[in-house]
Amino acid sequence: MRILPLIFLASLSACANEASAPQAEAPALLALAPQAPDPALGPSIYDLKVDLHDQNGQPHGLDIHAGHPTLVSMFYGSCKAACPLLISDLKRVEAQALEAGHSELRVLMVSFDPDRDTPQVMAGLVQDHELDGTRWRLSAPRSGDARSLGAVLNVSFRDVGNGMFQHDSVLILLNSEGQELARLDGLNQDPSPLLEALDAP
Amino acid sequence: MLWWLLALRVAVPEGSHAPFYPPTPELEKVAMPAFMLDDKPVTNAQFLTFVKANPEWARGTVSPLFAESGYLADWMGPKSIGALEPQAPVVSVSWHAARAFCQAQGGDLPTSWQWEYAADATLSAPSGARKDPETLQQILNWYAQGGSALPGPVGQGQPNHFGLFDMHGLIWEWTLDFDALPVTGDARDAGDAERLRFCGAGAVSAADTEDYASFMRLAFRDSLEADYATSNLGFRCASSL
Amino acid sequence: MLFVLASLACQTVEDAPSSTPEVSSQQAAVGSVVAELTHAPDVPAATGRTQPTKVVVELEVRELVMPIADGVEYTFWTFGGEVPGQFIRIREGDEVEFHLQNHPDSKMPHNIDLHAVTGPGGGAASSFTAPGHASQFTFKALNPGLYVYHCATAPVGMHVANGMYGLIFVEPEGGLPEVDHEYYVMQGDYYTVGKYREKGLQPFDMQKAIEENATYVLFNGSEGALLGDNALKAKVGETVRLYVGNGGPNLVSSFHVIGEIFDTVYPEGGNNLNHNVQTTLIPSGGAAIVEFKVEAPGTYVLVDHSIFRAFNKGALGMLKVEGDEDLVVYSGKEVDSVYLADKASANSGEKAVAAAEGLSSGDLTPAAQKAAGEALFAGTCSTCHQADGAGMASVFPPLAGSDYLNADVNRAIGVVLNGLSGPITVNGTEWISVMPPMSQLNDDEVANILTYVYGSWGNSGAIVTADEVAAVRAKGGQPAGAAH
Repeated sequence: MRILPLIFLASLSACANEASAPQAEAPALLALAPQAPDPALGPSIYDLKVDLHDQNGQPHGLDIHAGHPTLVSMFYGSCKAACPLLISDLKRVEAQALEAGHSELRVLMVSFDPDRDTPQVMAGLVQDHELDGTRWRLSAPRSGDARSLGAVLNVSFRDVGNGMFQHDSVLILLNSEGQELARLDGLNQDPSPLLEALDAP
Repeated sequence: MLWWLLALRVAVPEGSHAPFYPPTPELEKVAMPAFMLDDKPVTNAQFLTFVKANPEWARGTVSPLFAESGYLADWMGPKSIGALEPQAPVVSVSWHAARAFCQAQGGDLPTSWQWEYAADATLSAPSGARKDPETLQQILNWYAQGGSALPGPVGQGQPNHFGLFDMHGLIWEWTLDFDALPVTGDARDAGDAERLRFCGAGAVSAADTEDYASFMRLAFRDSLEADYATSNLGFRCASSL
Repeated sequence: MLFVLASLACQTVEDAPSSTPEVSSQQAAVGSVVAELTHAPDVPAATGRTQPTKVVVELEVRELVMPIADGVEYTFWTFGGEVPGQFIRIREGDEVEFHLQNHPDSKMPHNIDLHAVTGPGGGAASSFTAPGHASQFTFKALNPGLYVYHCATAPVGMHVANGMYGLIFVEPEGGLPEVDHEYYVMQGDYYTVGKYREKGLQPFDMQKAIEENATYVLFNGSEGALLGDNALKAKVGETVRLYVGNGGPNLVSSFHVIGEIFDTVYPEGGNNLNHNVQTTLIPSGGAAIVEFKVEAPGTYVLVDHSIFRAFNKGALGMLKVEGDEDLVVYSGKEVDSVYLADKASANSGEKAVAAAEGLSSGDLTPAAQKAAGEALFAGTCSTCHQADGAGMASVFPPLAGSDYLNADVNRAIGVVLNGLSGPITVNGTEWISVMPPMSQLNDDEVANILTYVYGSWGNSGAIVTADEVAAVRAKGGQPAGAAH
């Protein structure tokens, strides 16, 4: 994250080079091919290859929502305090994003407790919290991969026994290429940084 | 002969460990199941073999998601250690790369508790290094020296009671859950947020406030992120029995 | 556009009859400057600015082996490569963009807690930085004053004990009155495994630090940082302002300048002024500004007036004032007479004999003894008797070719152990002076020093053993020539 200014400078010079390309084609390229990662942002977390399975037991990769702006968070299903609040925070951002016309937004919640968070447990959460299954995936990695996910997302957690975890509660907005646009640390925060990042061209 | 490419993994027997920062104040000791741990840190030579077999972890090729720009900066080239001591521990290696190395060998990084439990062995007893003033002073001496020189070869000193070399005095080492003290987030779930980074708060919940060596290891781990490539930081691998 | 608005805002404030921190904090910052940082004893020039601005501060953390005393090295952890850390000077209301860089060679993570920051941790959490990384945070300097900054990474005491502190001065609106000289002095206490002046690279001693049993108490990070050629300088009639900080980690300073009275003190670095002060208390993690005019030439000694720290732990600095004498202000010595008082009945009882440590002179060849003595002489004796043993006219008698010395080895041992108060006659000249007892030296060290002195500069070549020293020490003793 801290090398961003350098990358930003590099992207400026890259843009300068592109400007010498044929003028007419440039806008069309931008509109049609949004898949190239933005060099002004950090690396794509989709570079991390992990096997997940969602609330329907369906296997998928971390990049299941590639092509869509995606809210990512980490949680554990048996959490009684923070995680229900985390889900309601995500729902609130989702509702405001939909209101602003961002129906393309997706949500991915990844468990750091794959031993307990079976598809049944996660499907129960989807039902209890009335989550829109077309937009939301609650998914669990293979045991051991949660640490790598936490590492790339900068989410800390530790198992304190009795099925309890101490953990960060973080909402991260990725662009359609998996690069971080904005994040909210902590619960019940003002969501406007996420919404503004979503609105930005 | 490539005998030195063979990491010797030794069994660390079961026992109990007193975490420096217990997750709850009443939890003074945790039971530690037995596990296997490399007797020495992973060397430049061993890591070079790994990189040659797994070029996606070579400098210049690895995704910036997994390693910052200083990754393996002392190596002569992406697949050459040049004049570096082959038997010196590999340093400037990110957590992701260290973990990939261990996983390729059917293991993983040790947890912080495993590492601390193994490192508490003295030359003659399975525990007590943290409380032994002489051992503590030796560790503090290393921490107090400037870090500009590259570390020397592994395995030069005496092994501890478990047969482990270089747990203190050569390099820092990655652990699997190096970042496991939550520093932000919900106060109800993450009660120890920020406790380590502040002046007085650091002493509030530590088990033994005179255990400066543990304090420093925790502060060091807490300062890291998984893509960091830091010049005095290497690793060794663990696996279950 | 923004600039214009901001300027208008500032003018409004300047027109106001009085300034409080609350009003100033409303001032918008205009423009941007990079802060000039200085190493002690230098202080950056006054900002000279009439309005707040954005100030960029770049401070680099280095872990470096440097001398702490003559022949003694220590691994300092530094802000800016020296102890104390670089002096930062800003103005009330400034917005400070702070960059903390931790050098890749560092073994430790570091951060910074600036007491000038209003906010949790004083910037500590935001600046927590691994080796080979850099952090940035921004704060607004709401309160004017002289503030300490320090590293607050666990274990904090060790980071501070290794020298991680410095001063940041937030100028009040309008600045301070002009003076002729401004200097930066910061005290700290140090804890080494070896005792005071034991040679070699000395590691940090955690137990001594916890017991607050300092090995060294120093101004500006090393014994001699403000002595000899490094002394602070001024001329008669000039005004001097000292920005004095105390990094600790443990000890409170009783800051005093021998032979001066502080005309003005800003106690604890705040706004209240105190006048005509002899000694000002500077808490650990605190600071004070002292101002005085120097009226008489000579050397003024800066001390922590917890006085054993000055003479046995290194808390000494010097201000050398040049110019013409004013005999009305200070006459110099007018009368010297012998005063015996209770000398005849003075206690001559036994003294505890300190256990000799370190190398036993019995195990050393005379040549090795001489070499060991030479190193000790350089730190202990040469300040007065000079490195070539020639002494100094009318103040310090010569050791070179000295008949007084060569006449009696046991007397010489007694002089080192117990001190000496003149008058004595050396090579036909009378000397009236006082030498303090060198009670910090053990028997071996005294033996080695004297063997060196006797083996140098045309002296008798006598070999002095620790046993001889122990025998003289066991007799107890009084400073020859006078009672104290």
